[in-house]
Amino acid sequence: MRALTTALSLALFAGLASYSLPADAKESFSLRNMSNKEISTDDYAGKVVLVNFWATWCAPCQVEMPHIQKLYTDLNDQGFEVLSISVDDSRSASRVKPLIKSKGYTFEVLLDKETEVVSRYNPQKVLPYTFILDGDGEIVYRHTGYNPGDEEHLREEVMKALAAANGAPEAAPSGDEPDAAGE
Amino acid sequence: MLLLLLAGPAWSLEVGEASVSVTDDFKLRYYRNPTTLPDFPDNDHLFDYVEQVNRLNLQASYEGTEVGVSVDEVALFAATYYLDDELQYEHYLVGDGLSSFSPTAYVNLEKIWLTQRVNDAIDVQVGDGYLAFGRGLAVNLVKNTDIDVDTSVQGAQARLSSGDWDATLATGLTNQQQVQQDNPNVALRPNAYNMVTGAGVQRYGLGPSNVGVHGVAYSFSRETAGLAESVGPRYSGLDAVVGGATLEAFGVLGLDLYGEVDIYRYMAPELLTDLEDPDGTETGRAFYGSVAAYPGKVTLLLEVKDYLNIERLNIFSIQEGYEVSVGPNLEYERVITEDSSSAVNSNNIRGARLRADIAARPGVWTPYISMAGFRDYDLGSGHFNQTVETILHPVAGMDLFGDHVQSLINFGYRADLRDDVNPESGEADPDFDFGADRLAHADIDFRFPVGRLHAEAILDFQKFWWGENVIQQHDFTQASLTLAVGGEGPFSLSLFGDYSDNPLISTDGNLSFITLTTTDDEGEETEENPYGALEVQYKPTGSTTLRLFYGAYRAGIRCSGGQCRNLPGFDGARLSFSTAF
Repeated sequence: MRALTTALSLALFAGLASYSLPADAKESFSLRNMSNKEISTDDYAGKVVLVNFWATWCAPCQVEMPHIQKLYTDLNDQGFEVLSISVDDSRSASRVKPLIKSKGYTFEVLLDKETEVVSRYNPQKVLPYTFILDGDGEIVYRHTGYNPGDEEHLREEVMKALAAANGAPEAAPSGDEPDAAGE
Repeated sequence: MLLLLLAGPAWSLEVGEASVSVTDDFKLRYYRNPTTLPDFPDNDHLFDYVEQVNRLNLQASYEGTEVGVSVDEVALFAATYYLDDELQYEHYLVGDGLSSFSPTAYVNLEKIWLTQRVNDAIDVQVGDGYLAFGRGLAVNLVKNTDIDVDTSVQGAQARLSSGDWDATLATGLTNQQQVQQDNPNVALRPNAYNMVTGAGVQRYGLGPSNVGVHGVAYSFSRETAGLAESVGPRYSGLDAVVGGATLEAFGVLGLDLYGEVDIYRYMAPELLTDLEDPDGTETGRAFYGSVAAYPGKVTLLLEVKDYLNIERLNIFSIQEGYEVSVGPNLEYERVITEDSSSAVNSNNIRGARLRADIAARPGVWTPYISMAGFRDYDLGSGHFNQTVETILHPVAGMDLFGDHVQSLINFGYRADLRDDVNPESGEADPDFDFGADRLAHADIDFRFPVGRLHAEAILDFQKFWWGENVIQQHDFTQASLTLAVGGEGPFSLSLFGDYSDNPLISTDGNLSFITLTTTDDEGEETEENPYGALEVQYKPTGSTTLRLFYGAYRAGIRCSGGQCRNLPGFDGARLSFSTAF
């Protein structure tokens, strides 16, 4: 195993050394959704995608999710999508869909049961964890944790990304508008 | 400061078509220790010390190739002294079997992996990866940072997909993390390297159904489980195999269904017997099923389980602080005693939980109720009960997500009702009355605006009453309160308070100027000091956080992801710097 470790280390650093500067990096991953359909970030080319990692046991995640639903409701018709990734392990996979249905969330929910994708983007698995992909699939904003008020900043970042993707000036944020859920 | 600079901010860059990212998590912890020496009775800080921990993650992806490494490092400072001109170490950081350049520092290449997408149908990974099949009953080696568990399978893994078929093949050795990220590091041990080989096949789209089969074989290292001194080979061939099948169906008569059956076969002598079953059993079985329904504004979820002799699979790895397989447990995980954490990991239990969520105002106001019931036949492990018990646990709660006020509230009452039978004969006997362990609990998380600021109050409260035990325990109360306030700027402040009069807890409260006295049913008084702490958080960007914590919190049992750990308390100061790119 030590030989394997050494070989992988050498491969890693040799590989890094061979790359040339500069160009853009496109993020790509695929996971299955709650109906076991495989969903890839490549399916959303050209759109601004908010990727949000959460878990059924994470209280701040539960508080943040209604704000993400509100963003999705307000901006979906402008080319904005949400990939909400549950990092509940395989044990609690049966609890994800009932939670989503009971709260009336309508965005796409993916399951990362083996913690592979969250380990790639957020190795410490601090939740919630959010990033925004622009129309080219590049990460343009990252955010760890949730404190009240963070949703306003998140909306600003989404609007910026949408403005860039749509080639139009930024629309005014609508953080104080009543939400679609009837509040 | 040099260490902080070395830890540095996280950065990422794009190199060619590659994406390279670096993340870092740095912690500096100052531990206060009130222990004194007879010759120095007035100096109560002789054994204070500082621990610095760092985890560096480096990852690069290039088209279909991804490589990554995690490097852990830990160092102790102010943890030595001289006795008769001879250097003494207060803590042996590096235990037997590990080597390091310094007795007070250790660096470890924790994880390394390379993933290659061969084509649209095949992904191959060598190095460290995570592995789970079904609901985790056969294998569930995934990251659980909540209780500081990060055990991967170091070897090779292939994922094949073709049309509606998916297959996973994996083989390797378990690789547990050596350096604890959140808990004190003392006497670090080498990896035990248990062998795991598994295969799983899923067929999707059979009408509304998906079906799967999986199998896992284990060969455990005899250097675990305190058997390092034993004479003989490190491995003794195949120790256990697990085979299982899953069936999942969506929207059948408006129901979402899941069912899984796993059969366990034990070959290793160490896995054949336990205290409850001295004659030995070679097999175990597990069934887990769930049914979800969505009538009108109500969401119903029924989960059922029946586990027999499945925890034996973890006998070796539990000595290393993790479990190779963990099924859905259904019980309330915020248990506070060893006895109730044993029910989470019971070797012989069956039961169900029904939860109903009512979308009173969809997306805004969701009250819910749940009822769990189990028969726990396991009397071994950490169970205090001498007879089989029936566990009943109703919970009621409410989630409120308003525009300005958010709240998560739940209340529950759990009773572990012990059978009043003669433990020797198992027959009902009026001379035996073992009573019931009882737990009342409340959790309140309330977020609200205060002027231009945002505030949060989190309160949890537990009152525990013991049934009749061989060694009688004291009933106890514990509670904690967090008050946090932040604004639009990068700073926020949190105050923590913590209290317990559980005599089994090894830590003492740091707020010595406050003494709380409680009296139990027998009139015995207990005096305890509460714990207090404050934390300042500075968050200059969305993914960079600096935290300074000062104060103390208590030790206690913590269960997460079906695994329970006795986590130590803390008294001192802590500086944490983390980035996530």
